[in-house]
Amino acid sequence: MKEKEIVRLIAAGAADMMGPAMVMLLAGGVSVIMTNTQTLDTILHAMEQLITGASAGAFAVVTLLANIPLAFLIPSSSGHAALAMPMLSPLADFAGVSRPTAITAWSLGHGLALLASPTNVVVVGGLAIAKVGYDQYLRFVWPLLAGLMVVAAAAVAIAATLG
Amino acid sequence: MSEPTASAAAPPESRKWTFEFPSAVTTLVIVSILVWLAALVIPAGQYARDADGSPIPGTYQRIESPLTSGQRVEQLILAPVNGIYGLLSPVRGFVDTGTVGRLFGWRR
Repeated sequence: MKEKEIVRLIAAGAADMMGPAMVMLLAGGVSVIMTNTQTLDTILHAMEQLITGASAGAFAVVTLLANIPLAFLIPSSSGHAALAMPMLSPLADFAGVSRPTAITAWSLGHGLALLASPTNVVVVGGLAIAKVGYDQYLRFVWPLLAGLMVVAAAAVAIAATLG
Repeated sequence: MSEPTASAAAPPESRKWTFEFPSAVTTLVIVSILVWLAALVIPAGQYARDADGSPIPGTYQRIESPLTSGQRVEQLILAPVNGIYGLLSPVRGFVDTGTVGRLFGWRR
């Protein structure tokens, strides 16, 4: 390979990462707006009052479920994490759930949503290559997803309850 | 002349609206603006923080918003820049590119 070709390929490889990078910096920007306008703590305070009564297991399951719609909006896991974590980690502390458990619940919610998300490039691209309609795919896959959801919710609930 | 092209362009446009979901970048721009608008209404407040920067439960206090309306507009425009290059000032609890501190996002 020629020197110029190597440099061109490196630049082309870096260009592929530009999309996810833009998602991450914009997601970070949302957290920055909440931090700099000092409203993040107000939102945390509102949620703290909801959480104090709830059990650790319930918090973990709610974390899993609440992150599913977010994953539809932001299919990039890094971007989703940059958006959710500044709020999720103090909330987990308030609820008495360890941070690894909270991140597991978040990650399961994100991953399960992406298995069926029309915003996920892998799902849409894979279906296009396989010539399967999206509605057909959903009808086929929903029992599996429902089962996985129940197993995931049970797993994080047990993990959070045991600490 | 312009009438047939307009009517020809209209049906696929309306069909696009029902099918295509905006990409993550567009979604996040919209979310940024919505969060910024919400921040105009939500009162400012603060937790006392421990050495790790985690908020301490039960120490929440309402405070006066430190930002003027000009600074608020600046926050919206600079949000993506602050999101990637911003450093969290441990003293002011404020993220921007002109402070010395820990990289935002690595603080908790």
